[in-house]
Amino acid sequence: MSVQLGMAIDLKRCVGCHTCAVACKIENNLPDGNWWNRTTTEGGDAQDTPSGVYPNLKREYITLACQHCANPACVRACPVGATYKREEDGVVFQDYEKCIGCRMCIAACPYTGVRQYNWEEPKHAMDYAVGDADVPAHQKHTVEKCTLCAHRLARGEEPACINACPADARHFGDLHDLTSEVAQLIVQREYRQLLTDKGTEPSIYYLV
Amino acid sequence: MTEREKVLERASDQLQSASPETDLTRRSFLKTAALAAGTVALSSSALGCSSIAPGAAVAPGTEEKTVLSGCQYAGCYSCQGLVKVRENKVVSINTWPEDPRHHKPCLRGRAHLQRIYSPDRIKYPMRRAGERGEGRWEQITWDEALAEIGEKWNAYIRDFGPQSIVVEGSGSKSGGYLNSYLLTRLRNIVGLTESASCDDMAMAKGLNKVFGPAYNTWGFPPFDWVELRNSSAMITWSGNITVAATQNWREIATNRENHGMKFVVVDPNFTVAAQKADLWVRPNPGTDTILQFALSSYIVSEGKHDQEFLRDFTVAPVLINQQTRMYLRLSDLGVEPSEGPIDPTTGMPTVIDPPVVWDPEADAPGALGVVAEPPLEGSHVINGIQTRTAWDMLLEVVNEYAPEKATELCGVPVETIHALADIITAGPVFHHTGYGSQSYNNGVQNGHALGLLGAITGNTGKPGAGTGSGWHGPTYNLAYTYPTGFNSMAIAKLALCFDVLETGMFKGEPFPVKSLFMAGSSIIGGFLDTNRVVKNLENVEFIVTADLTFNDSAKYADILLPVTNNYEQEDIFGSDLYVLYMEKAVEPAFESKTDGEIAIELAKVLGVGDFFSMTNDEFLHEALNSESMIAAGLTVENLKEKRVIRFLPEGYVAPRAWPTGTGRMEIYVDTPFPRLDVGQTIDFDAEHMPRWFPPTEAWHENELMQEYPLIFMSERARNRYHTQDAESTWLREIEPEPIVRMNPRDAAERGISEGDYVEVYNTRGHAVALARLSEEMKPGVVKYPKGWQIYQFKSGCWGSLHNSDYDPVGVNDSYFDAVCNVRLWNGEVHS
Amino acid sequence: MTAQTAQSQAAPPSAAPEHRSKGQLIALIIAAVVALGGIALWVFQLAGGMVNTNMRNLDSWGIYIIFFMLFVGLSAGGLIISSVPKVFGIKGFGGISKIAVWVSICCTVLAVAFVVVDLGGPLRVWELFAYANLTSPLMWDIIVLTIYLIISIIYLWATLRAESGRSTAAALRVLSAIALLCAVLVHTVTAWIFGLQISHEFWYTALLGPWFVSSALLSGLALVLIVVVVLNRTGYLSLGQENLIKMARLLGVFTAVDLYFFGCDLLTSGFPGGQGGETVTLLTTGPLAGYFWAEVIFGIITMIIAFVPSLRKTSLILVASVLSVLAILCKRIQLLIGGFQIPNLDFASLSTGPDLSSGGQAFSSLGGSLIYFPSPLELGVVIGVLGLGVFLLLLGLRLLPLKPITRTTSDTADRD
Repeated sequence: MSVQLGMAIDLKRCVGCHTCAVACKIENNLPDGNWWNRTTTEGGDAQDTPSGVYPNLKREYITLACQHCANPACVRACPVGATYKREEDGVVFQDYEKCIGCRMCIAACPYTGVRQYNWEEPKHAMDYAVGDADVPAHQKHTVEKCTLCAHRLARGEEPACINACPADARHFGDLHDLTSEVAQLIVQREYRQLLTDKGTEPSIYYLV
Repeated sequence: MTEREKVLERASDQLQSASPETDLTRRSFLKTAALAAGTVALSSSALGCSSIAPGAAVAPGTEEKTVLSGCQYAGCYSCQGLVKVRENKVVSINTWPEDPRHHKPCLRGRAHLQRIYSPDRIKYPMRRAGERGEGRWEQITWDEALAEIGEKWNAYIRDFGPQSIVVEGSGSKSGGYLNSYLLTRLRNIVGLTESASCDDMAMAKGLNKVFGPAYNTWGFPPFDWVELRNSSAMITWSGNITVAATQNWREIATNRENHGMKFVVVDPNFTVAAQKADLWVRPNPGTDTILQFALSSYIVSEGKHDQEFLRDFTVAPVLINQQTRMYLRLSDLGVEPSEGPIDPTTGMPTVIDPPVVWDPEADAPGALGVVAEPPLEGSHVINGIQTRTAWDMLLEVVNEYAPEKATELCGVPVETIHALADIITAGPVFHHTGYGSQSYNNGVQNGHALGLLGAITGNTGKPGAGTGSGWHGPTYNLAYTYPTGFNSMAIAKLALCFDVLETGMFKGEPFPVKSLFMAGSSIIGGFLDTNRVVKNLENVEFIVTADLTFNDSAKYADILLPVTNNYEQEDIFGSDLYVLYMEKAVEPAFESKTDGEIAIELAKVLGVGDFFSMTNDEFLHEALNSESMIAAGLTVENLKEKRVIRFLPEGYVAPRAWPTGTGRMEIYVDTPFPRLDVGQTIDFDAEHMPRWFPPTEAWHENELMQEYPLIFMSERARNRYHTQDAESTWLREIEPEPIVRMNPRDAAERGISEGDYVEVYNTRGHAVALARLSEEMKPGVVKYPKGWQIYQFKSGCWGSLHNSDYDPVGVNDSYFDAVCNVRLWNGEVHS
Repeated sequence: MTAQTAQSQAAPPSAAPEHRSKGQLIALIIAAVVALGGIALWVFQLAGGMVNTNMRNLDSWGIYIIFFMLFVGLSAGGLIISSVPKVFGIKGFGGISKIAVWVSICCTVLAVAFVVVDLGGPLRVWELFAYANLTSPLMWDIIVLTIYLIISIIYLWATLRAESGRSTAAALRVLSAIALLCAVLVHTVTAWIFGLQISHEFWYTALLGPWFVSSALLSGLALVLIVVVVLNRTGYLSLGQENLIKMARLLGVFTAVDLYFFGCDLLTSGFPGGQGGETVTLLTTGPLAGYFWAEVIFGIITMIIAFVPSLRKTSLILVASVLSVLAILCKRIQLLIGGFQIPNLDFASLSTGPDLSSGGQAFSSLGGSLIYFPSPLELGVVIGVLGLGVFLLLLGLRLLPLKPITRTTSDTADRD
């Protein structure tokens, strides 16, 4: 059976601290303003605000990045195949060298905001590359997004956001391997997924 | 352009790049026009194909090393992590999978590396080159800086005594033996004055009243978080756990999953912790003490109190002299006191004069600890002295706030009080203390009342039970910091900044402060009543600041000394129940020195260099040369090898004996005294027992609230460690600028919409921030994430609104005991 | 052939008067300058970064793609107007077929230009052919557009050959059929770039293909009408009033069809009252209301002019045509921006930085400001591309034998 890497994120544990987002930003040496993973608030209209009226309130934190769908809309839409799904592990990957900057993938992906386009020459806060040495260089006028830290996968390590979470809320592994921790969690716990009605079959599960 | 101006320009650039304004501004137009003009041959890079640097892929084979280092903050967890260094630059810090503490560097820790190379970094010693506060500097050499400091300080010492030089702060990292403690050593040898911390001390003082003071303020029993495995519940009293104690949240979550531990949050606002809670309790601000009384009252009325514990481990059965309101002692019955062992802090023998209890068998008074089962209740006339048990008196206090009576005042429904009481008595629980509830002038009572509640439920000294949790460190070798004895006096920071600097007097005597050494201090901006502090600093002739960046503290200095960042220094220090060794990851950048190295250089110019001529290892050996350290295997070699060692065994449960006069929980305090002596008088009589009185300013009956009806609170910010990391560009992409949280109804009343710039103001100051309308806020309360630097505000700053009025017992910063109002900002900029 | 037609066709095309030629030359030069200005701005955009546009991650397409859609429609429409009469052997519109084809070719070139200026890495365009991903509607559109451009050029060439007798009418008819098919396909495939995407409710409808075709017919015909009326005024050609009226009536019909499709789509979105209701609100009373009502009102005006005989004057027909093109432009704006305006995930998150430019700040609030509005740079580039279009159009009119012929050399030729 083919491998499909995915994540189970425990919403009961997630406290919206942004550590996973910052870990990703540094690990991948992201340009200023780019966030491949972001901590969003499900509740009110602004960051950290709940829904409801005091004191009957509800708030949830949803960390959002590429969902590495089993049926990715972006892969089908890219005219040059710069975004493609890897055979060996199901990661939806992005080849900067091929990207012509048409932004079709951004239009095709229903997950608002997970894809980032470098609208200018990437600017970096630090004048040297931070994070991992194996991360490909960022290019102006190309699209980029979460790669499940493909450079770490190549070394047998898990994505940076997984081991960074101080709440131990993030789990990662092969969804198709029923003995993996992540597959077991999905079986044992109730979960929700984002935009399942779109038919993209996302590989990110939010345990509730 | 001066350094400061360059920094300000860069800072404003960074702020702008985080803002959504991206119209074709003149600056960007010129920049890109120059680019376009410069590229006659259309290179592939200009036409947007490939990018070269600085985000370029790292050249293969570039040397990398990994060093186990981390944050060095005694006020946080000092999480260790794998620091990656590439070409002598820190590129990341990641989780250390073998960490026995299972800590994981948070977003702040991860963003720290930006501080090393921040454009705001103080690179070289600087001398002020304009008016104080103007931000104009000239670069000088270390020799010049030290020579000037030496010249001035030696003159002050000669003419006014060493106490005229005050050390404010304990270094920009806190608690390290090679840094903070070397500074303490210097202070003690020379006799410089310590500006004693007043931050978040009221709860501690209250608990100290009950559990007794140890060598440090946080002497009440530590609670090992591992013990949550035995706790049936964890209650946080105003703790913003998920932000300020992120590493502990993991333990809480695990224990809820594993054995259904209940999680209770006491907080008027819907913090993330409250969101996760099984029970969210919302007392009115400043009334947590009433809630604690109500719980105590109810628990006793239900007969669920631990009578054996009260009898055997507290002073509940002690007979109180109703006239003096102090313990009746054997000496009152004509028994001569005896002498005990020498007290190391006083050098005098201890006096043994036990308190009196009633002996039911003999139907006569007897000594506490001798009588087997003294009754908790009872009044007796003994030798003509009217007495009552402490328990009777305390019960009277708490019953005044029985749930039905308390509910009106504290705003917590009776059913909730009952529900919380049931949780508290269902088994051993951990009462975690945050700092919100104690942040009023009645804060000490909060700690005392909690101690009482803990005593009533016997909630200490058994697995899973904790009442407060002291930040504990092993006792190091005192000779390390006090080699020539205790020569340094302490003045509470509050008294220093608002009384001594203003009047030149301390405790009725002239006390000139000629110089201030701000070593990682935050009295400007991160403290109370900023405008008043800044004004009072004008009375200090010479200010030296040792810090990492051109922050608020640096602004008013005469001489600036550049300090190292975490990763640029090694050190050993305690964090909770562990001692850690942090390895140096990179060489200090520019001309920075560690706080310890600065202490050594200062020692030399002050003529006490002989005490400081040791290597780091030699210093560390001396510091760790104490009984308790050696017993716990805490040697320098062990620490360098293991990196983190617990100094208390796993599953540590604090014994049921405390460093009070009686060795018991002194829920009734015989001789109350203030936390710090600033020449104040306290209501001795009133301080034996906990009581509730309203906050000074933040109370609806206060006339001031008619014009300033909103209570003014702060929260630990996710994106800053206190005022550090305020310059981090990554963290500022998450939270770009100061915001103030307010309830939408309060906002609507004032015509304020989400995203409006508003001015929060009161009689002392103002701050302009973005309005964040949120139902998480209790109506009538506004709250801001703290830690912004003054230059990051459009006008004013948070510190300027806070109240410098302090309670004479706690001598504590009462951050929340302040009121304000909010209005749309009219665009005016003023201090 | 009636005497009237013969008479109107007998009017000899006189030699171009001096002022026309000079005026045309000046117009050519101005257009060239504008086009060059546009190219300069485009280079600026590439060098300085597309950050100088107002497109951002949450609204990653903007005025360039809007105009791309518009011009594909305009070009398809032009060719359909020209080829349908030939294919079905019916009377045409008075010999304007070559002009229509040339207009169509110019529009195709502009459509491609709009895509190119929207690309981040135009030098990598060769990859489209080296690495073509055949599941991508964008790839399909590029292939079809390329074929369509080639076919349009061949078609024009074939028309000219047929006119001079060097090719048969039958061959032309076959080519017309292919061209017609291609024209319909081009705009259907363009529609599929949006219509096949499940990512945006606003776009995902089977109706989009046919609807784009009807918009193409409407706008294409309108553009041809504008060109023809203007050329009629300048004396380049002489258009019979009845042909004008025929086209005007057709314009009215196409408007009705287009609005019919619109109505169906709106009702389908709004009827269940759920999330689709957001769409209806967005258009009717929200930030896109201006564009929606403009389209509807312009359409109504067009239909009135088209169907009320007394209003079918040349000047009013010109007005109706201009309004029709603008109406379709409004529709493109609604489609593109509307799609991005309603996010699928509206969690409160990072909403500063490059997610939104100052041109569009309403991430999570409908009825707030628009999520996007073009920057001066984008408007400049668009004007530059339009300048290129005018340049090409005038060049063709100047250099190519596009005038309707007056001699009848074959039966079919004068039925154009």
